[in-house]
Amino acid sequence: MEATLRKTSALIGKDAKDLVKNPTMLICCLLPIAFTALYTQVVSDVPGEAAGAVSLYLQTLSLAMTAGMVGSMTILYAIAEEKEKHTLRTLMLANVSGAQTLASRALVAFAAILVVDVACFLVMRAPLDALAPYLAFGLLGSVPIVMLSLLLGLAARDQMTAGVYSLPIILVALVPSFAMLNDTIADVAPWLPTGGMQELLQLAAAGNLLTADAVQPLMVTLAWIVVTATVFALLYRRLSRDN
Amino acid sequence: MTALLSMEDVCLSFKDKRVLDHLTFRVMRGECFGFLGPSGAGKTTTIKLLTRQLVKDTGRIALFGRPIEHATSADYERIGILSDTSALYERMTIEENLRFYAKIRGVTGNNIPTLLERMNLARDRRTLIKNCSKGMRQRAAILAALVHGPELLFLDEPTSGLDPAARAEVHKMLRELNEAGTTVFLTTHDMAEADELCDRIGILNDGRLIADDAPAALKLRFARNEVIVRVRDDAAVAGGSPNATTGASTNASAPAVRTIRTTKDAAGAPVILRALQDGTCLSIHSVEPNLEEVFLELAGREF
Repeated sequence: MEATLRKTSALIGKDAKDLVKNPTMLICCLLPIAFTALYTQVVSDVPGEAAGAVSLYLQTLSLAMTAGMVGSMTILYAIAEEKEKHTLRTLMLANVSGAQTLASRALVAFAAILVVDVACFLVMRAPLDALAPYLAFGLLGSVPIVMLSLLLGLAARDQMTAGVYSLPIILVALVPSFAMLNDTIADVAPWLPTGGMQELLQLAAAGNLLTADAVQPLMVTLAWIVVTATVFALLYRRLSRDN
Repeated sequence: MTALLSMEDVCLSFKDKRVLDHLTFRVMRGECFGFLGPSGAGKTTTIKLLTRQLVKDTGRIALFGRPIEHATSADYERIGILSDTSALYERMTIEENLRFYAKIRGVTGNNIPTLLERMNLARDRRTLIKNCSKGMRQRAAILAALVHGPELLFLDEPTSGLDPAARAEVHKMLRELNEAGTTVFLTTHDMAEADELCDRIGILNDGRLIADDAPAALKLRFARNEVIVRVRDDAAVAGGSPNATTGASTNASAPAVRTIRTTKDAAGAPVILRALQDGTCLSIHSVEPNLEEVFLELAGREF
């Protein structure tokens, strides 16, 4: 147990430094903040009651962007790069388990998501009392995205493949944000990994979080977490095996 | 001495191709064991089996005296591995990489300055790996494999791509480690390297072990019945009679020196004796095959 903690702690330190030094991953972390700043500027002159709805929409959009971009890229690219440059195999040969490596990547990704979420929140100048639910549902909605990214990271051979794999994840994460534009998307959105997160945030903003309406989005999000974690556990050994 | 690792009747196939064919050998504690063979002979596959990167089809593999299937994580903490693809983190310096691996292995890393010094990397310790030459990367990767002072060191072609000076540094370090008690399992296709470093070598050809002995013993086994005597050119021995009596051949190898080839049995003794008695003898050499010639004899093909 002590060895596991020591190794995971060393990996977290290395992965966190790598996140800051890797230009691709750093840009992926800055993009949601930049987009949030841009959208905030675009909608800054919305008057009266509509301003609250726009602010809420911006919050859900920035959470989806952060989960999709930061959640996928910081994991997918990092694992793919480790595979491509053989540093992952070198780590394994130093008696580090795949589980320790992935746990470290996931924890660093959650930390990055949290930091980017806070930065987006500050940029959009939303009311401070909305920060706690914003961060809580942001992290909750990121879990299935992170699990999917870990899974695809194991499957990705190199960084080019990782780039291809990350696109559907970002799209799936963003789809619920466009529910208001199309009826079909509106029907599908609640069942997607980040759909529950967005509904829960809207319920919290309306003061209806502790009602029966919150059960379905919560269950959908938890179901995604359970399904992705189960698939991950089933495929982990197969995807990480050498021969 | 006890066997630190062993393979017994191990077979492995990839699809229809038999990669390892009833492979059996032992590596004793404190030994430097060289695993030699041409590219594709199965050397790297063997290391992968011994380090759990691959799983055998049949046979038995033992590590630290117990079946590899029962080897624990603690057992693997006693091992250092440099694989053919070992790589360090490019956005970290040489020293940061070594400190990272020291932390992973649960050691303080107090030995890092000494290791860097011994591998002639002390001045470059703050160089990012992405800015290092291939030789520097390889030497740094070797250090990362032994930063925790392993009992057993697997090295897969450790000097591949290194210049002669860097090779000499690696050889020196391996000799020192081995003398200090580290067991070394080394694969190489460089016969001279194996000859220089290893106490014992196994020669692999097409997945089969065709020899397992000390380099000197192997060379002795295939030694020729031939002695080379070098004499001054003005000596009486070079006059032609030795050739008549022993069948030895002569040829001028330098203006003042002649080389006489004779047998090393009783028939060749008069030639050697005469050269010694005349005081013209400069040197006497037995003719031993090098390991490449040993491989040729054993495998029936060139290395």
